[in-house]
Amino acid sequence: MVELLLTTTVLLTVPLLLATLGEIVTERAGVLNIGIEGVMLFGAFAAAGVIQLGPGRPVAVLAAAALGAALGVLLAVLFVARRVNQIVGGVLFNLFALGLTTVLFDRYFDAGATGSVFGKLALPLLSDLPVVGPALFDQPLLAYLSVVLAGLVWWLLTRTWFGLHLRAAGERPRALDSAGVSVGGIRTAALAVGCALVALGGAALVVLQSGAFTPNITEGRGFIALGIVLVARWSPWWALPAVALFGLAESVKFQASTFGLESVPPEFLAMLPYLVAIVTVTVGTAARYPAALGVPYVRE
Amino acid sequence: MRRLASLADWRQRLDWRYLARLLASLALTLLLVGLIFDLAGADPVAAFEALIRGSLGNPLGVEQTIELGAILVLAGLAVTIPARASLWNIGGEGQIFAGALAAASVALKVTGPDPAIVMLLALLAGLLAGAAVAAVAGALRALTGANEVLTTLMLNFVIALLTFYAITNWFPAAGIRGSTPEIPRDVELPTLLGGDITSGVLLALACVVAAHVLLTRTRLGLTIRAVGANPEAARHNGIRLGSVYTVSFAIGGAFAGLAGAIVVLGIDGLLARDFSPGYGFVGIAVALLARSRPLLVVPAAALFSIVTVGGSYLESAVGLSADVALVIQGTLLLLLLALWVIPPQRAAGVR
Amino acid sequence: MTAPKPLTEGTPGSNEELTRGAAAGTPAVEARGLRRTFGELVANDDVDFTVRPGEIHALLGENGAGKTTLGTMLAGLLKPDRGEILAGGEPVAFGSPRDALRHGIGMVQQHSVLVPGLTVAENLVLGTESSWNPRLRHRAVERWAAELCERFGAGLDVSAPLATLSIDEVQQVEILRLLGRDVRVLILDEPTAVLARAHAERLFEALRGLRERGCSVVIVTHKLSEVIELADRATVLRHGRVVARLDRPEFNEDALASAVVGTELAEFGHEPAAIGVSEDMPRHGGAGDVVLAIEDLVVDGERSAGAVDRLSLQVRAGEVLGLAGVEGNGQAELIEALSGVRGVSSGTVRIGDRTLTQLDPRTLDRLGVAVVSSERRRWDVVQDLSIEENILLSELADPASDFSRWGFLRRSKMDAAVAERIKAFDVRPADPSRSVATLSGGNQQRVVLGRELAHRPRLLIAAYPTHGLDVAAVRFVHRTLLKLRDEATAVLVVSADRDELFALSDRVAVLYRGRIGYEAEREKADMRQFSRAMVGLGEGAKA
Repeated sequence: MVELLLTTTVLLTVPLLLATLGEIVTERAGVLNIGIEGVMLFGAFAAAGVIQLGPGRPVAVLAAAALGAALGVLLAVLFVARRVNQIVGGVLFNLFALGLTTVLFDRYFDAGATGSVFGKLALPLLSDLPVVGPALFDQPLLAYLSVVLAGLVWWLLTRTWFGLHLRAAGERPRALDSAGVSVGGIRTAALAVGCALVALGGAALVVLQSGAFTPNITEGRGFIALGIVLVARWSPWWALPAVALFGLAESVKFQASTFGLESVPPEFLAMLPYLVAIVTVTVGTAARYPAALGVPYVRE
Repeated sequence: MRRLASLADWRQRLDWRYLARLLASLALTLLLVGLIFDLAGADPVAAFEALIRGSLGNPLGVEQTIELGAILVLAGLAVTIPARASLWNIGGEGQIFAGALAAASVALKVTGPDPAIVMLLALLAGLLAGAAVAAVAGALRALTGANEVLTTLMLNFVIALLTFYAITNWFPAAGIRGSTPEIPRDVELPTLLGGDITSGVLLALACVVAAHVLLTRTRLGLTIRAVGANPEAARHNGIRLGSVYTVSFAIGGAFAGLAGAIVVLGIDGLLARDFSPGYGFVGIAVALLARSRPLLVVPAAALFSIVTVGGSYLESAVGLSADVALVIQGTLLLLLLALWVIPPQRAAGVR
Repeated sequence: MTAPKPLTEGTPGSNEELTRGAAAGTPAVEARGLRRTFGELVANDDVDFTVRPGEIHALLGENGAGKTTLGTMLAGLLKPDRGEILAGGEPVAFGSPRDALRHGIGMVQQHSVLVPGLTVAENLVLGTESSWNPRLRHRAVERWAAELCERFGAGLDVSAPLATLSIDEVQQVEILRLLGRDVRVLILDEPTAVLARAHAERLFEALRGLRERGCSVVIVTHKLSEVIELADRATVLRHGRVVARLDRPEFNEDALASAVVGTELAEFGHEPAAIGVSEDMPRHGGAGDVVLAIEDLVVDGERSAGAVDRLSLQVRAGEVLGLAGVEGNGQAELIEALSGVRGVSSGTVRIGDRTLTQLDPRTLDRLGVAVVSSERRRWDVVQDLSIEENILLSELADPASDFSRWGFLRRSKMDAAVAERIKAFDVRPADPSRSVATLSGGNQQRVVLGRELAHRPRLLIAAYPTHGLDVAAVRFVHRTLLKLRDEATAVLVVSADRDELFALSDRVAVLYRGRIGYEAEREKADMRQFSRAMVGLGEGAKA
């Protein structure tokens, strides 16, 4: 029972983790990307589309990431170059994304078709561990990769010059500008990388669960990722347990009967992730907010 | 004298560069949308034509356009009032759901008094429910500093889920799955002139006037505008920022709640799970297009309504999903923002 | 574009090219005929300025003298309108601070350009490598940073987050950051503004050390004591022009002080007539009771405690007290405290016979205190509102006032009051429903005055009331202030314009480092003592 819970948790967690990592990159550079939901949707769409066209799942995943990067640059034009309000722009982008993917879905996809999902890859030795073995270590490659990506994001933020400049852009862009580095350039790059990861999360939704796209397949996961970023204090490492917490909440919903929770209405279980996010936002202090988050930079 | 003076103000703000950007936005929108139509396998000209025909070219379409317009007006007002205080109400969706649920509950459960009274109570319940939800976010912000963007976004989902739960558990089973039973005829909002259009439309228009009067002629409206334009000067002149923020949010929520109530009492006649295709979010776009001016919310909402209703006809006419309306609306607004037809506001971050 | 020096090469802070310049005798940096305006304000007017290699050069002057502007132009943060800048004898045009850095010129400004969330080492290396470089080796970076600190005698823990450092340590990092990028001309803008005495001493030691290494230091300051203690040469600016150049042997307190402050009233066009004060204006005969009594007031500033440091002051009804002093000596904090937006640490403020330990806007309003300032947004117009809404703002916002009933604004009452005020304060155009955004700066100021002064206040605090206004508006403001004084209002004027103060005031006082350094009746004021107090040499003034 616990095994099943863990297994489903991991699967549900991967898209969330990728989206969260992407948003962490973007927000630490000072850009609040509410459009994360839309990017994720586009990523899922792209992956499903490529799968239908034939090249295969790995190519589909890469295509989604590439599309995400392009979308990131587009959003950078809006938020960095044109200084559009990030909240409003994000909401509008989500509407646009939902509309466009649904419209194109009708045309290019067969509703009800199922594609193929990634097969699992059992890690030797580790997958033989009792209880956790099959759950944690017998997962699709993408699952392992997403954990590796968490490490990569950490490395990017702390062990590269780009990461250093990115963090400065999110805390005190004036300092970065004074040091001779383009704040706009850094933020654009951050959006590109971040949205690539988010789109990857969308692709994961497709290739790990049904292999096909359905309209509004993301169902608010992007918004949840916004909350998770806060819970994780903008740290890629803390994103892992934070995402796990939310994934657990979601899989409890699915596995309610096995927990004797049939009496609890499914809707209330579904509320869990959002309530956790609200509580965390309320209780957690804003102490670690990237100070320049959400504010377009203008040299004075 | 007063009206002429504000015209003079307007003339100073419009200049040929601004108009050029406005026209460019409109042209680009048509271009991009046409492209997307093509990509989606429909003839762009036929599609645009079907859009207009669907919403304005037939009696049913006109009726739907007007009724949807009323809802969008209220959704727009829900964002407009807080926006004048420089706050963004992203929780419109949740507030609408709360209003719909409250109105349906009263309409279906309160049986004692005169049906007309029940109807009024239901409207009131919707209004208060929306205001309450908004006030929660405002209070959380005031007490704990919790960021209202995230709390309201999350609350949207929580309330929607609560509504789903309520539909299946608080009400007797209905004929249609996923919705409450129908509301008794005499509790519904009366229709206009014996036709098919709900009087909720008049209510929405009345709200526009009320919002306009609120902002321009009341003390509260003045303080809201002052806080939105220059919070430090406002504080220096004795205005308490915290209460202005909370109240403006609550008023916005009230409008949204009323929208939900009108859907239940006047348009659908019941509460269905999927009654809102994102009204709350579209309301943000409406308010943006209306530059946060209540009177301009009407034409803005009308435009959006035409596009949305027309969009729903595209399915049968040219085989396009109704969601194309979102594409049109999103593209238009994003271009208006990108080309600075709607200028970037004074920097206000996440705090 | 030269690439930044790789971290592994060279020793930090070496100045090889310097010797080249020194040998040839060319100045490290030179400005010729620099001019810079901000709208109508001429910040620098035909300024010539030379910095030699291996010297400490003081740029001395009051606020508005133009010293910061000059510094920022030399450091590439601002472009001059006219004139040229030469670095190492060659003309240069800086498009950004990075350009200036490449020529070895860097500025430490009053607002920090460091990132609190990063460590000291990270701050020091920010921007020295391209973002494309994938390897940021923390140990190498910290080693480099530690070497840099050691070389210049700074005992800092380079792995500590910047937020844990004290103010003077942060300043050290600011300077080191520039030294790490091989700066040869270091410009410091009011560096001792936030430093305690001991730390200032240490800074001076460090600056002398830099001079020994052949670096040039330009110290922008208004404190005479610093100049005398530290500088080799001094250039004095007043109203944007160079009025004196002195070498160390010529340093003399009085000469410097009078160069900074000036002793003649009519200079550079500041005719008394232009200020709207003329001989035939009635002089109120004698002042009344004490309206404002400040005793031992201590107010903390943003970054430092004791910005107002046990200040005592009195203003009587029917008199104008002019508070002079270079900006940054506690004026802002004092005004904020007196208008109720900044808390008071200790001491009392008495208004009439009410003693207050804490002030808030509503109480002050009820006690008849009005504040007018062109400095902060809070004393600005509210852009989106109309003239009538602005002019009546505090009354309209007050539920207890006559102007609203049941929450609705009563237009008829408003019309009468507004018409009166518009006439009294001569706001043009006189249409109450026009948005204030369409008014000129001068008229906007009149709207603010109309808002604050409509009910003859008991006490008026006017901070920099004519800053940025045209001549006609300035005249109007002065007339208004004097009229109020004649109607027995107590007026406290804070201004950086000495001429304005002397024209308006009955008594003058000098604010230096949060305290009164000198106080006297205007007619009996000793200009020498006044000037000395302005630059910190007054009796009882701290060094």
